Amino acid sequence: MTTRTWTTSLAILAAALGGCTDRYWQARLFKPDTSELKQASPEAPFLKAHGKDGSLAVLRAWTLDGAGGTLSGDGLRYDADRKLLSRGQIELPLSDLALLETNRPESVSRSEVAVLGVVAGVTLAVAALCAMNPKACFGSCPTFYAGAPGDERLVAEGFSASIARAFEATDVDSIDVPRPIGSAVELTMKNEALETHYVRSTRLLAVPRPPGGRVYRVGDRYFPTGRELVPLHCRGVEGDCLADVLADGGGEYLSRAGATDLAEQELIELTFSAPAGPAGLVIRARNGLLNTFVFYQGLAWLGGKAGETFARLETMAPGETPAFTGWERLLARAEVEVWTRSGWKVAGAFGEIGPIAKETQLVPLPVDLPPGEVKVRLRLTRGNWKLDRLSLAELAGPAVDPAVITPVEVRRLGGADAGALSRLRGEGARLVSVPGDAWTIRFPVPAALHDAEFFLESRGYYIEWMREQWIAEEDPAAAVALLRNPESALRHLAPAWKKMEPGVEKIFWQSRMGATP
Amino acid sequence: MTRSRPSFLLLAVAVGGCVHRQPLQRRDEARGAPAVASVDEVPTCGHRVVVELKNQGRVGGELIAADASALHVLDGGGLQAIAVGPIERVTVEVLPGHSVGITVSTVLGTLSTIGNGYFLVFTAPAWIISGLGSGSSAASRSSEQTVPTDVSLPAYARFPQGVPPGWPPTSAKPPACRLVPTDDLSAKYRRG
Repeated sequence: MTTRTWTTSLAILAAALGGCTDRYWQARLFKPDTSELKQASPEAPFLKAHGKDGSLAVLRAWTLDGAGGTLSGDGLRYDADRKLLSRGQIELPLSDLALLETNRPESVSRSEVAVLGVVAGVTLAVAALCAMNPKACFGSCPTFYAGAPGDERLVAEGFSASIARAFEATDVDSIDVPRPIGSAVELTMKNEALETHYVRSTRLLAVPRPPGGRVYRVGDRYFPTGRELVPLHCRGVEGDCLADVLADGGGEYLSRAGATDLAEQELIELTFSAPAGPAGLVIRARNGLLNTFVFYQGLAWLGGKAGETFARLETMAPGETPAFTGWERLLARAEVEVWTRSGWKVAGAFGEIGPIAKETQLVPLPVDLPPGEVKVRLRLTRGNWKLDRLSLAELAGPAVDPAVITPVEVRRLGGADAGALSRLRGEGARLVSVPGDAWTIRFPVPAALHDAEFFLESRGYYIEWMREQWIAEEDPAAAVALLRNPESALRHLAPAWKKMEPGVEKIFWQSRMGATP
Repeated sequence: MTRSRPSFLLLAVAVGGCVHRQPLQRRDEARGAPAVASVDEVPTCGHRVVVELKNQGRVGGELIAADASALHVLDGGGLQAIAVGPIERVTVEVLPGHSVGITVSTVLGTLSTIGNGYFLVFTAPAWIISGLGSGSSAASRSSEQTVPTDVSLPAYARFPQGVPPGWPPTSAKPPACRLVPTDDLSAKYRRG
């Protein structure tokens, strides 16, 4: 049992120390005469006889003699200071008594014990889950929600790859905002992780949709599209995947990682009917928990040297920072290949990091494809991608420049936050957030853009907080090896991941206390 | 970094504010289920009371007796006879407040969420909110306020019949008594 679990247990113990019920004594007072005493409730198990001198007798069974002048019973006798005088049979002349009192004990439930017990139970459950598997309690970078309070839905997570100031970057995510759009789009930016976020700016990008169509992002270009074709077939390493990748089918494709090598690749093969013209593969996906596990394992291996390592990163000039090309290829990109007249060719890639929010991107296909069905395949790292939508969209025209919308209002705790607004507009220092912080950002939307496709552009970086459980795993040599040789590291980590893989998703989502996106 | 969370405090106050104070009476209305007790457990002393005076003063201690002209309270300084006139209100502790137990539980529970990973964002406020709410609820439930002339007050006194003649002896300070309710953790009414 960890220290934290002990602490929770102590809290529960402290709550329970007082018991779940309190004792309450109902009392009724009588004059010490026969007629009054006969009204004493037979349900009252105790009779207190208050003497004129302040003494007290507590009787648990009592009788009145035939003449009605003497009260007798078994019990305790106290003096006025409530010092116990005697125990046993007691006889009391009524003339010596000032007042009689019946007492009946009652048990009163303590609802606060139940309330604290429930909270303690939840805390213990979460602590147990995290202790069982510390890397199941992941962070998530800045998260963005849309919708009215109580009906919010996660629409994006910002700059997930920017793990230090040296890696500050601009991230663009397609966002599915509630419609119809009014005069503004409001997004709530939250820090829900043990991280410090440094947000340089947030902007909304909007591109009018063509009639009946959509707009998809290809890198920094935005393409209007028309008709969309669903796949005719889908086959992955786990078998038929068609049901999983149909839009709004409710499924999500996620394969299992390689048994001995987490870099093991897989192919997902798709066929589509022939499009009417130029087309692109629409991919909506998010990461599994594999690449996040690898990242946190790296931090764990840095252990106590994580701070020093990140401080060094801070002092590096642009261009000096280590390139994570190998890692990006293995864990942040899914390549799209298409069957051409000269065989399979790479058409492009879907690139995104983040296990929570789904991202939609387009990969345009070459125009000189063979006639007939279009054959496409995705080459990706097994167990690292969750795919829930694959379709072929016919392009409706050339790339379009988006309209850029800057925030006009930022609210926090119900009030306007002019300082945060200025910072999120890119004016001055970055906006800093810690766990629990949340701001609602208002972007005005002109009428001409009410039916636009919206994208959130966020720029910044974040610092992950070290966890107590990670420090124990400090192994700087392993951390260096992880950075220098991703392929080798992914083979080394395979047993650890395979051990936790079957339950990690369940633990992650079941232990999550917010809404599941 | 410490951040204020007024919304949590408001909620806690609201939770506490929803708790209904029962009228002061020991006779008729049952507060709970019938229970079993031994004769040794039957209370023999008065309840803790806090007497608030119109001049902002206050006296806290065991209610010894209550009559039409004065309340008799035993505090650290001895037996105080407080005339009814200057009294603003009287608070009677009818059940244990458990303030220390709830505070300890809340502090330990909040600290324990450090082990919850980023779920601390949810579990720590949950402990704080429920702790404040429970404390407020228990405090409200445990005590009742009334006026000094309330005819129910004698039922909570050590001597419901009135202070017996000659007590306490002038030469001696009355010894401490096991107050009702027997909440040894709570120091709420021991300030006087």
